[in-house]
Amino acid sequence: MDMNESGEKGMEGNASSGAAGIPVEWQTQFSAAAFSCAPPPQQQQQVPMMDSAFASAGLWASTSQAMALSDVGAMSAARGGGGFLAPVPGFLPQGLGHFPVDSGFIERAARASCFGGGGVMGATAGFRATDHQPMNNAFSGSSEALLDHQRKDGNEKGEPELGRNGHDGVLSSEAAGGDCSSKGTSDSKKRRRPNEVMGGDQVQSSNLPANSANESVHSKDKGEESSPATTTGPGKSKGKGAKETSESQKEDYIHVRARRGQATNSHSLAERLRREKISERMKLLQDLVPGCSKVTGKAVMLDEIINYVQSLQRQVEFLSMKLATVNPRLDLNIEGLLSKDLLRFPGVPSSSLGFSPEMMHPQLQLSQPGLIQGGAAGMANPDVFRRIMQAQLSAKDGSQMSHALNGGSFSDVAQMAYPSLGSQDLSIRPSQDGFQM
Amino acid sequence: MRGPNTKAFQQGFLKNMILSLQACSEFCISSSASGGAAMMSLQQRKYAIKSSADIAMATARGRGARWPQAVLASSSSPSRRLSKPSSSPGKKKNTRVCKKIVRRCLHTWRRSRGGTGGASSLARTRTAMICSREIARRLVRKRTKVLRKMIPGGELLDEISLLHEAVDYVAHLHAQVDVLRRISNAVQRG
Repeated sequence: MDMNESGEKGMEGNASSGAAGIPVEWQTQFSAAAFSCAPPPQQQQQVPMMDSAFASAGLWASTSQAMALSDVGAMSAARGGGGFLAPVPGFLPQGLGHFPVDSGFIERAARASCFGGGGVMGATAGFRATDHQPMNNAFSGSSEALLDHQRKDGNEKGEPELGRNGHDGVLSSEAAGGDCSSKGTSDSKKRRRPNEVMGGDQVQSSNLPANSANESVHSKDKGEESSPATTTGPGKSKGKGAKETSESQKEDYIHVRARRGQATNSHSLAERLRREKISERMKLLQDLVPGCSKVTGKAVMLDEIINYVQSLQRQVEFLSMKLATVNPRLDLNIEGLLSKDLLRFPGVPSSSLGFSPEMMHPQLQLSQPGLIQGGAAGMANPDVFRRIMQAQLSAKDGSQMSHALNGGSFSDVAQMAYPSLGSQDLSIRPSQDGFQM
Repeated sequence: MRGPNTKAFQQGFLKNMILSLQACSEFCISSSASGGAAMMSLQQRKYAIKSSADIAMATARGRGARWPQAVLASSSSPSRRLSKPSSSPGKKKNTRVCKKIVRRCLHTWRRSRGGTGGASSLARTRTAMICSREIARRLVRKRTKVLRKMIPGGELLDEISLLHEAVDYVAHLHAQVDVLRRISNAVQRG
């Protein structure tokens, strides 16, 4: 058909020229594709055909979702469009058969996937309401997976649109696609990636502070600010499409993607990342501090945390005072205490509790290998305890006797404490004294 | 075995506490043996128990947080307290200045709120918003400072790791209180 051929030629030309003019041609390509595939009615008008074009694009997208995600990415690119234009007339009448997998398409899709993914998403957004969520996730996941593979290309990707409106989504995708394409050819810059999933793994993201020291922020200077204000406001562009979520590939740089409609200065990106880390930690604290589920806002949360920590510390003081009143000689009746107390811990046999305190002096049974490696925290020798307690008590008393006993300054104690850890012969023995861990 | 509410941590904590209390009692005995019967006062005993509990908690924590280091360091060299009073006058001045600014902000906000009736509502809300935002920011900063003081080793950390340490410290304090309560109940009973 004439339209088909001209469409294909146009697409080839566009693809060869690069990413520049593709989104402008996007609609025409789609229309051309639809034109070629709309089976019986030979529609000559553009406008009603565009609807069917996008509907069919949505149908294609929804079927491709069943296949590998990379195919979706491939399809979303202009080249990919050219690729499947050919088999489309044959496949479509049979109800959207499989599209050929082409790794070349995938690569090209990765390069153009910023607007490609956005374009298809925008195109299909308004017309497949039920398929929104999985498709958008699929697209974002695919585009991000592709980006991860193609990071060496170093193209700075713009934000993929999660436009949810119908035509507006299309328009915005085109416009942003245009912006993306103009920047897609810019020089490669490092991106920042947070090691966090939005609304997800907080444990893994706790490793961030170690990485953040090494990270360097580098981003485009030209505005995403210049992207035209569309109906898809910044409020919509949140969630998975906004950030790369693959944590398996840890690098020196933490990569982050600027959200739609927000500034992409390096400073503001860093600010935003920092703010999000803080809010995520606040959420963790909310779970920990009782009665803070309804509280929002940093100031009130901090107040609650401070109150809670103060109350806990006061409780410790009170309990230690209570213990001090109960036993006048600080001996603590160890065996009796342990027999009563440890029996409450499940899994401790009572027979092994018959040990004498002297047994604990020669070795300290360490069950945690982490204690051995830990520099400051792994205290293995009771002597160290003794020294520290002496330092504590003598400092409190200020008596001359203690000075005579110690014979040294307190800083020496600290120095002695830490180097002794390295030289300790720490051995993990199976519970000789009944402490089973 | 990582979390502070696990049995392993509590057992380790208990063990360490017993060790340190033993050291403490030995010290007592040795000191009394050389100079006569010197019974520790209630305050001294309480201090000994509390510090031994803190040290036990810090050592049982293992690797993975900064506050154990700070706790142990502060317990080994408690003479650091002399440096603190010197910094307080400066801090008081800062807080006074901050309070003045906050008060002034509140004044202007209230005046603007109660002054003009309906006109320039936008400007009013803007100034109100700006003032409240600044107030909130100042509150946050103040409370962050307080939190820094309370968490051992928090003076050196930035906000993000401070919150991280706070999470950790709160969990372990909770466990410490739990163990101490159990000990005191057990000692009371027998």
